[in-house]
Amino acid sequence: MIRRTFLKLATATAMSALAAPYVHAQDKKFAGVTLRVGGWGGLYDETIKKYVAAPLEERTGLKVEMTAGTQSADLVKMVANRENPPYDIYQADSAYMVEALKADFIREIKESDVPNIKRILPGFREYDEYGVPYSVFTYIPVFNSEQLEKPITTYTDLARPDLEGKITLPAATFDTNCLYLLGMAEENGGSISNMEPAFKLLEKAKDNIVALGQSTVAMIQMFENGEVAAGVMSDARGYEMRAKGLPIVSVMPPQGIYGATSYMNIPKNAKNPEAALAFLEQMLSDEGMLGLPRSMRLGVTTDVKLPEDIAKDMTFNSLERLALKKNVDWEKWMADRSSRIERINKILRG
Amino acid sequence: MNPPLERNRKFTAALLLAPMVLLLLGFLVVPVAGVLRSSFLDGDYLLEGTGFTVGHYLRFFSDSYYSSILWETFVDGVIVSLICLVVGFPTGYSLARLPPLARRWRTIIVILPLTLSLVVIVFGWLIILGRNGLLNSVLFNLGIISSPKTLLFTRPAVILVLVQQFLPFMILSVLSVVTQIDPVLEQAASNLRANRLVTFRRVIIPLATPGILVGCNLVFVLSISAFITPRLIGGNRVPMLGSLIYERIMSEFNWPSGAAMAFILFVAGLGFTAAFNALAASRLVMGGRLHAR
Amino acid sequence: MRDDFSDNVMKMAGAVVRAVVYTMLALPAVLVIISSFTSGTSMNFPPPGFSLQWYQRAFESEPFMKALWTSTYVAVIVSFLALIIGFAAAFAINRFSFPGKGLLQGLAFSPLVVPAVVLGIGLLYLFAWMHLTQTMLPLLVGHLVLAIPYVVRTVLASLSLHNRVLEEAAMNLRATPFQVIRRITLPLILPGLLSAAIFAFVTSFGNVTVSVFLTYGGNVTLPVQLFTYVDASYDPLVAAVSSIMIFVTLAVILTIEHLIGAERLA
Repeated sequence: MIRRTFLKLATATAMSALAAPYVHAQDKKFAGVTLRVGGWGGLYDETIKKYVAAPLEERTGLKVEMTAGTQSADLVKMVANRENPPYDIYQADSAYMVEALKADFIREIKESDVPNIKRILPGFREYDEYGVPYSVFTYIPVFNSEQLEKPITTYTDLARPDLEGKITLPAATFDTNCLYLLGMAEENGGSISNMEPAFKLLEKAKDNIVALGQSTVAMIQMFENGEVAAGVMSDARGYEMRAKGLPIVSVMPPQGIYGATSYMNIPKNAKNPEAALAFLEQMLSDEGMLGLPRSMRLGVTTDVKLPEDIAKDMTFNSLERLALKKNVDWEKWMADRSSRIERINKILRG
Repeated sequence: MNPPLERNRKFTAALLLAPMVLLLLGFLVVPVAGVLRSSFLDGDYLLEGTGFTVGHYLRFFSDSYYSSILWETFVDGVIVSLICLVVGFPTGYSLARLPPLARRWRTIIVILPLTLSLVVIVFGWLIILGRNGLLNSVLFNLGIISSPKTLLFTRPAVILVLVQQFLPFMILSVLSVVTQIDPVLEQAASNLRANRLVTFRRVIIPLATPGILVGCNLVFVLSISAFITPRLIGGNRVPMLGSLIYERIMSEFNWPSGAAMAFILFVAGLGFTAAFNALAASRLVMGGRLHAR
Repeated sequence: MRDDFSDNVMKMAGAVVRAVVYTMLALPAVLVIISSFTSGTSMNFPPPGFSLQWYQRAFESEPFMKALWTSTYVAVIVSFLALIIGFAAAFAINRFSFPGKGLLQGLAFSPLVVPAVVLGIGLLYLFAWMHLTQTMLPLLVGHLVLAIPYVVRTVLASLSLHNRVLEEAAMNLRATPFQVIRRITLPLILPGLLSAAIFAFVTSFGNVTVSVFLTYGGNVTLPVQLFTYVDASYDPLVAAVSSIMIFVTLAVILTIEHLIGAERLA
């Protein structure tokens, strides 16, 4: 460990000594280049701009244009414009990675192109050489401790009869958010190929559900306005509500936590692949990697050292917690999505 | 008119119509036809299917879940149109008869919701209908309810917001026909000792019928294809076909099936309004005959 | 006596209905404006205090300001083009007789009834096939299509309001059709034209369902920017930006209203 830190320090010093005049001589490698990044809006984009785009612009002159969009509309645009993709960086979560690979518009990214890839923790690069994972989020039960007498401890608890008219769940169309169903299944002897236990529970939970959230923001509103007392939400949003002063408890189900990874991709016909690679390298650097933990307490994908004050609010802040992270067979999960959506709709709307 | 002038007129008409027809053919009919074509593709992912199948249509009609949602969507559309008619007609009528100055701000209030992005409107309604919202606190303070009620995420809430969104279309349609009805007619009726109710029923309503029909058709068609309102206000618990279509296309990327559903909605909506208009027209003619007697 | 009674009931009922209608129509917008002036950091109502901080944030936000500019200029161009195209068509429909008129009117109104998702995806693929997606064109054309029914409806209404004796007199004096339109018809229906312009402007300015498919990196419109923003964040910035949209729309309506006089609006 000491050896490694020393090496890192030594390399960093050497690099900065070498880099300073080099950067000067290069006179901003990407001056005049604009990199178009597909964003997800709000604080998320602000964070990436601040910790990835801004330092990169200062060093290389690269101008980053982040456009907020939705994953689905962006995917449609990417597919419709294979020859001339609207973005040089396309972001996708684990579920949309399956879609992007199916639609076949992203290229492989090798460690030789983005050296920081070697820092990615084992298990986080789920799609071979495709996609660079940069952030982890989980979908766990949360509840308002002032409004519930009996705490929730598992995904299954959401179907408890005392929660009638008190919970919100993510809309069926959010593939990653709907992992709570996998949690319900696996807690009750089911599996990704046997989701029946989860659907039975959902049937039982039907009267508990006030509304399905169309976005995590919509769900936060429901908590803030007292429409609901419990639900399933990303760990980052649980933190956000606590930071706002709501008595929200995030539950770590003992049988496993379900989550997904966010990836950055370079489209096959990207206009500025070189600049895109530099962007990814900065994303995976310590500076870039710590941005989302700082602003939203989202999990990291590399061996970066987390400052203590940030780590205490994060889901995956210890080896024990990381051991709870369940692997998901995304191909299977996405192959079943249509039947899953229809099933959920029929259960809840019928 | 002599033949050359006649030909000249035809040419002028064609020239005047050409831009709109070309625009709509090229950028409405062609793209929509492209999507229609895709509803017959044998596949379930984007436009990657091939061949020809009516399977997507058959599946829709063979599953009672979908036909029941189509039915509910139409019921919602009718309810929204009726409410809009009942409250929109008097408003549009009085607006038409107001002096200009009084009309100014009222007209702006009517037009403004049309101009607001749906996101903004929905946001405003969340403030009103929320559990800690305006309506709950008013009802609570009046002693009508003893504890806050969940008002959002229910069918009445969706219908209320749809009414607010599309009411301007009704008011403006009524307004535009009523301004063309000469107030002298009403004066005449009241001179003949007809009371307001009779004047309304016998004079104003028959004359305003074209505007009422346009308003009803617009509100109905817009309501049945709404998808953002049922999703955001209904919290996914109030099924409407529009949001199912949106999900099918934008979340499942099953374009053929989504396109098929969209065209079922489109054709059924047109069929329904056509039948309604025919019925209304025949009633009107009959009514006219009765009065003539 | 009974007549008086029913008269009074109708009068009262009418007054109540109107009060409810105007309140209902105005309330969402009013609430959004009130919450935009909050001094707090979340969207609770009523706001804890008054401040302009969220407007400052909005004006400092590059994406929102760029989107405001894009929306405004697209809406202006669209209104202008929609007026020309829509007026020409409405004039032909109203003043000339030709076969298939009903069909043509149906075509003019059809953009209202085509589901937005279908039109959006259809246009996206059409423009992708023409290699034009990353230009302003899809947005302009898409909004133009959406604005046509409103313009045609409004212009048709005002054309049928004034009689054509003057036009025919001019025609008899051997004025060309275009002279007639320019010298006689246009001045007469100017109010109708301007309200058509309002409709075209607001249709383009507020649309999100079709725009979401047609925007690209450089030309995101304000409603689309707002739509994606509320997906990820929820703060009074949304209210401030929405209020700015309301103010812009109001300004446009009031300007046009000033030009034509209130009594002729709509």
